[in-house]
Amino acid sequence: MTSGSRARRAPRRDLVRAAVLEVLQAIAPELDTTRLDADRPLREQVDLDSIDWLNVLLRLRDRLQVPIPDSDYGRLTSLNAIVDYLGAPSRHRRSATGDKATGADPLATRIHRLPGNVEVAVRPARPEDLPQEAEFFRHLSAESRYKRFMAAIGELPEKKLRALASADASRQIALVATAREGADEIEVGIASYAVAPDARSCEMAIVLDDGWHHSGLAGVMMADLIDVARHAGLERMDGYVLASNQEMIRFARQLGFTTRHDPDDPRTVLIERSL
Amino acid sequence: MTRGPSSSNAASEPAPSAAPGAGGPLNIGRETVDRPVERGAGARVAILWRDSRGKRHDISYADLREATNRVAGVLRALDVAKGEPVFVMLGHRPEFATAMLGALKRGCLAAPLYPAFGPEPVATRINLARGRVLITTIDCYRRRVAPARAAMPSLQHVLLVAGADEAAAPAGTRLLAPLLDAAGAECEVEPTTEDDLALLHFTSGTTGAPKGALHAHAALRSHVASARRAFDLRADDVFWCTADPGWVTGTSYGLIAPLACGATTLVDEADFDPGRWIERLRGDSVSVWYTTPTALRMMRQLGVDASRVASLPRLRWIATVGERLDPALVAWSRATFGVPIHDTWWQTETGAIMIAQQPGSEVRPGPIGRPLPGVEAAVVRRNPAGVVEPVPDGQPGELALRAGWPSMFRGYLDDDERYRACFCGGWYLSGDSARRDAAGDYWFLGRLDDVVKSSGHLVGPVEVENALTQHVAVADAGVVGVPDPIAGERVKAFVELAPGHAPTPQLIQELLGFARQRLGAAIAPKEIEVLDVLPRTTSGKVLRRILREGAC
Repeated sequence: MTSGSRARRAPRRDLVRAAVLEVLQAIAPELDTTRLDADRPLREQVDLDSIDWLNVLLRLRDRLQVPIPDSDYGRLTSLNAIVDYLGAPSRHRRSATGDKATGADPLATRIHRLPGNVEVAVRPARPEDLPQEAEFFRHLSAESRYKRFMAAIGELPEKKLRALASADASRQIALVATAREGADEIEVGIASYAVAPDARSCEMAIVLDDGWHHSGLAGVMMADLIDVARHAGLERMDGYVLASNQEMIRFARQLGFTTRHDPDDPRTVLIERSL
Repeated sequence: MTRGPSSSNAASEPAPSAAPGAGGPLNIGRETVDRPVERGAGARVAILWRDSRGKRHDISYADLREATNRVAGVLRALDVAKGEPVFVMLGHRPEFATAMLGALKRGCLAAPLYPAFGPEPVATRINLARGRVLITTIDCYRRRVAPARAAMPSLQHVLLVAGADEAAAPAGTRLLAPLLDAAGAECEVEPTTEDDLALLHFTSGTTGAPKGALHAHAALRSHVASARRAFDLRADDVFWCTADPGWVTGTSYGLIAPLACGATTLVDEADFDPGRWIERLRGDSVSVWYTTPTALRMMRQLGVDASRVASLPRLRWIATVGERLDPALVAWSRATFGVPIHDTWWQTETGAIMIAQQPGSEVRPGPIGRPLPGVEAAVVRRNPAGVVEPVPDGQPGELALRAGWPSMFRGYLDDDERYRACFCGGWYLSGDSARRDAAGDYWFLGRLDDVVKSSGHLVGPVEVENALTQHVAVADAGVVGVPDPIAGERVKAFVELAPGHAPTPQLIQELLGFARQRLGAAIAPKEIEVLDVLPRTTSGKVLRRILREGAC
């Protein structure tokens, strides 16, 4: 885990309270959170149907990384009850900040099995990956490169690659996916983000080896990237996609991104989601 | 109602109907609560109520008889006439039963309203029926009725059920409890016949205002027959229908069918909570459970599995309604509860289950089952001459039912034209697309119109579009259902902005909140997307089909 994560510095109860209010506000924008009675059940005060309530619970669970047994959902009624439950230290729970001692390091290697029983490993890029990464980019089709970097460029400058390979999730991170090809471990995808100057949002990008489109790899890499960003205390993720890249726009929507045209550039679509 | 090729002769064909008062004497209120008492079952538990804190309250058939008599007496004292609508907007609490059945005993038209509706849908429905009487809670009145009270000039008697820590009635309302105390424990049941109108259920169509489907007291016959056949429901069963009171299922099967069968109906006031639901199934010895695929998917999503549920020795039947049932969910249910799920198919207009996977037949995940005894179903299409003809097995067509079963709707409130358009050649045309396979099982394929089916409820796109276009930034809106992994479909709105408004995330959130305040969470859009221009026909009508296809 990196230094500089605001999530770790904030007292846990405040963090949980802020998360609950933000999740509620996102689902019920009409809510005036200053008028909430923290001891009354939320569903008596906020108009939430059962699908809304399910989404509140799932977002809190995912965001705070607290496993909730189904028998405990009934305890999550009022704001204070939720803060008491999710904010309490418990040796049965994983720390929300990804403490290594509890085995929840967001930067550990993750093994995924894709449809067709293909195994890939996703992990932060390391400086020693540089030669392979340069190779990876050289192999991309001109179209893939164009979609990723918005302009057709020949080769990534060394500086950019070096920056991508620095594993400080509070500034930027690149996750690489590798797969076995015969005896070799080859790089098949890179997903990365760079944190904006406000230190709360980040800009993402993803590029796959041409042979790995439609393999399910993009979905698992994006899920991992979002997870790492959440653990780093980031609040939003955005990105730029070419308006002509309908496939990526559709994919982004499936991942919960909202899409809108870039007011400054009609060829570009801004994608955005809260974390 | 859009239902495929329009029929030229539909308007001229006489719609099936029966003259009021033509049938024999029958009153749903009397049959469901007085009869069991007369048969000596007065001490049996009619309603097993779990209040929001989980405390158990047993309401016997004798208790229910007296409570419904008092409601009927209050309505009589207020000069509420036979046939007049009585709106009931209550959640999972025993007052829903006493208000509905009491109104029926008085001979009134019992009209349930979904308590999650926002002020606009409430006002639209009460105004359509020019309703004078509404029974609801103080909390519900404050949040969902009062903001639109001025828009409901017909509303005269608002009778409120008080919560535990509430005492005073807001201006323009009265508390129900003192009126009940003043009414007698005995009350003469209005001598209705089976063709007198009894129930008013609102449902949504593609165009225009919601439709008020009218049902007669005879519907009881279909409620009882279908519960016996589709659930094998008996007097020693504890039956749990999780549907919200206010939708047709909550009345037909949460209330009328189990009581008319002499069973115990479980009513749990709490909102969905997987741990509590398992506790209900086990602790209250539920034997037959009627729920929705959405609710089961939510339980699965929150991690409920066999290790958590352990054994449920009393549970013998699970049925669902409202959405297509996927094989994976059937398998999960079998593994988790020890019982597979059985699909049922019906609509507000049919009043009771028409097609179901029935006891005694092999469970095949996928089809909705076969018609119940007495129901004649067919898959049809209209030929260019407007005549209905059957399509061969295996091919898609419109699901049709031979008109004339007891719970068939008797009309749409003040809209005879729409009612007639539902019938052709002696068939009721459901608006659902289906096919029949070689084995004789029916498969539900989808809606033929633009109505959204979310969490098992129908949402009319026009009602949602009208709410959004009231916002100054919205030039026009198109509302469709998009696939949702939990709810089947979710309501999504595409909006075209008025000049001078930019599609910022803040504006989208503001529009979401704006729609939710007017419509209530259950029918407001869950998602809003801004388009530069909405796709339209040459005549300017928004093409929802194009929006739907582009959305998924």
